[in-house]
Amino acid sequence: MKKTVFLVIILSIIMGFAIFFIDKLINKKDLGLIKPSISFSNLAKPTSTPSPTPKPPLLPITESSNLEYELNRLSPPDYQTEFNKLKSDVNGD
Amino acid sequence: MESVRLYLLTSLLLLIILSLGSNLTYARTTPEDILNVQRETYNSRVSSYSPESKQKLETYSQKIADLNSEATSEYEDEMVHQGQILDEYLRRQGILERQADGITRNLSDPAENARYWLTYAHEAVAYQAAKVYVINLTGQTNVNRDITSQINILQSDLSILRGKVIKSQNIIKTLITKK
Repeated sequence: MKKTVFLVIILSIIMGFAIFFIDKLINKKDLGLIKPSISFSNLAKPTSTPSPTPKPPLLPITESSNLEYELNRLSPPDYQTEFNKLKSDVNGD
Repeated sequence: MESVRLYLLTSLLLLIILSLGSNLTYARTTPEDILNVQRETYNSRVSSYSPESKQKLETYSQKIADLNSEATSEYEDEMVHQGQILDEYLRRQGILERQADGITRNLSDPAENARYWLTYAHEAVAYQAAKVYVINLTGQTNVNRDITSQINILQSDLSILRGKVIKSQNIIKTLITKK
C-alpha cells in the first residue's frame, strides 16, 4: 500500500510538470525562467529635439533668493500645443 | 474499493500540482513582462503592415517618446528647484527635519508634509520618465486612430503628473507664506 501511494505521488508530480511545460510550449508563453533584466540603457533613447523658444534657466537658490518669488516663477507647462500639433500631424499625414 | 481510493488520490494530487503550476506562472509577472508581451504583440501585428504604415508607426512612436522625455525633463528641473526652495526655507527657519524611517509619517507637521509631497511628485516624475509607450495596434486601417489613442494616453499621464507637481508646489507655497 505504502509503495503504491508513493508511486502515485511521484507520478502526479511528474505529470503536473509535464502538463505545465507542454502548455507553455503549445502556447509559446514565457517559461518564467530568469532572464536578463532590461536595463534602461537598452531602451530606445529619444533623440533630442531643440525647443523652438528656450526658457530662461532656473537659477540656483541662494541665501539672498526671494523664495516666494522663485516658487511663483515655476509653472509646469501642459504641452497642449505640442499634443494638438502631434494629433493634427497624424491625421494630416 | 482500493482502486477507487487510489484513483481519487491521484486526481487530487494532480489537481494540486496543476494549480500550483498555474499559480507559479502568474506570481512571476512583472511590469517588465507586461512590456515584453506588449512588444511581442506589437511586433507580430506590425509584421503584416505596409512599409508606409510601419514607418509612420516608428516615426510617431519616437515622437511620443521624445515628448515624454521633454516634458519629464522640464518637470524634473521644476522638482529640483522646488527641493532647493524647501531646503533653503528650512535652513533659514532653523527647522531640523526628523529622520524618516520610511514607515511612520507625521503629515500634521508642515515641513514633513511638504517634504512628503515633494518626494511623491519627484518620484512620479522619475517613474514617468522611464515609461515606455508601445502603440496598441488594432489593424492597418486603424493606424491613425491607434497612434492618436497612444498620444491621448501620454497626454493623460502627463496631465496627472503635472497635477502632482503643482500640488507639491502649492504645499510648499503654503508653508513659505504661512505667518
